[in-house]
Amino acid sequence: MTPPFLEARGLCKSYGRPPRAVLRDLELELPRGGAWGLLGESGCGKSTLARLLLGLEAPDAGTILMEGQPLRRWRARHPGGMSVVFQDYTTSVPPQCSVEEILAEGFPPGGPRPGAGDLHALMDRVSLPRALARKRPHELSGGQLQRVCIARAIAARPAFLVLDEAVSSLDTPAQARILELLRDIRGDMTYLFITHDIQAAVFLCERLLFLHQGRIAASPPREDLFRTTNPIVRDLLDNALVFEDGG
Amino acid sequence: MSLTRAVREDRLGACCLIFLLAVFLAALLAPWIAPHDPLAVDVRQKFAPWSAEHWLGTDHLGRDVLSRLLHGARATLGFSLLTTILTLLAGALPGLLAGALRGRAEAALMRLCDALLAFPSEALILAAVGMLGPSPENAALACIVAKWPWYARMLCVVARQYADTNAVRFARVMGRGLPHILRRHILPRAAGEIVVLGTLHMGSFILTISALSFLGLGVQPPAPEWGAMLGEARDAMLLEPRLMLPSGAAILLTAAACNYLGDCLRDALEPGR
Repeated sequence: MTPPFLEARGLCKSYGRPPRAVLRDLELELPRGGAWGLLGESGCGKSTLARLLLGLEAPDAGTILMEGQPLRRWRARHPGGMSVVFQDYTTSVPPQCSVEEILAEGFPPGGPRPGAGDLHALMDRVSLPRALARKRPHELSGGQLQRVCIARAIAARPAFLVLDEAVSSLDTPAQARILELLRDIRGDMTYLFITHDIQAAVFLCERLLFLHQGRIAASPPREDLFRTTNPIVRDLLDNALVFEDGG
Repeated sequence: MSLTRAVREDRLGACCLIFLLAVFLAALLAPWIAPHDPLAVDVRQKFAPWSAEHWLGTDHLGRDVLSRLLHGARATLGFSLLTTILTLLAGALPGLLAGALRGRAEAALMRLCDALLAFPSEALILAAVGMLGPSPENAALACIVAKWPWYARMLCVVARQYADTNAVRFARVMGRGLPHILRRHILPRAAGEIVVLGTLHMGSFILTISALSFLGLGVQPPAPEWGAMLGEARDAMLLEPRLMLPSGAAILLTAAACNYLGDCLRDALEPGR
């Protein structure tokens, strides 16, 4: 039997003293391909889960397997196999580097150095004008900088891309453009789209994961989202609707 | 604000930089611009006043003070600069590595620094020179041993600050190693702070090296050095107090220029500038 693309078993993570549990025996299985939305209230552990899945932090307990292999071994065998786009694009790039240098960092380590053609193709893919290639981050708008971050993240054609609140810092028109871009360039990548914005998640993702009290509380497909009776999902949906009515 | 722009915009800072460059240039060119041999003794000329032949007069052995001051700058500034660079390297390498690695490496370095910084640095320097024997090399070595933990601690904090950014997290997710993270993300951003620390402490090392030579623990007579010259002038202080002026003023002005330039550069690195 083919193992799932990503499998997390019994993940636990606590912070602080006395320890405050953020993730409690979390179980997660993702098949290869598709876009998965990870939703939940602020502070429910969405970004913590992302850091564990990306190997940036180790869990207190539990295991993470990628295609049946421990995360560390899978990453060593697939350089550039996973990537990430963060919410705060200003701290996501080295400020002294040009756009070209930033993009070059997204290519697999140990591989051939990317040429001008590779970099231009990458910029074209995210609709970034080539004239920006030698600009520094402070010379770009927020939307342009987030496009640079997305281009860098997809440069190595990763199998798994985590989008951690990747559009939350942008204004609404820029959000819409970036979401369309993310949808268009997905190909065979597996997205984990972390957000508190249900509309954005519904736009981009086929299935939604609701994180509550350190566990995945529900994982309805997009089509069934508004028919679900799960109280946690209903609560989040109702709050989102109240907010929209009030707006 | 960039460091070069900060110096351009601060007139006193620019004056300090020009003064220091002039002093370093004079020290470099000393063998060619010094009017006399700094070691040539002429007791008939002892305590000669300031004149066209001896611009700053002569000392108790009739040696030309200006020539000794120019040659002395080579020893004082040379050893101070060498001590600053080596101390920065000795502190920066473990500090930046520990700050980038975090975890146990950082904790181990911090506890070692805590233990070493518990000794008063002046007492540690005097003890080290006392054990190793008086010489400028040993004085520089003692300064490095006493001061490196301070730099290591400072640069560990600087590296930790830059290692804790999304840019470095992205590099780690991509599987980039520590050398890449240091070269691309930490060193370029910490370079300004390293320059500021070095400039600020160059003044302090000038004072320390001069003080050790003044006490007879650094450069040994008859070699010229500002602190040693001040020590020799002290012996004739009642007869010729003016002899203390050239070397004393040189130490004071050069150390003050380093300190003010360091302050100017540090202000430029403050957030919001």
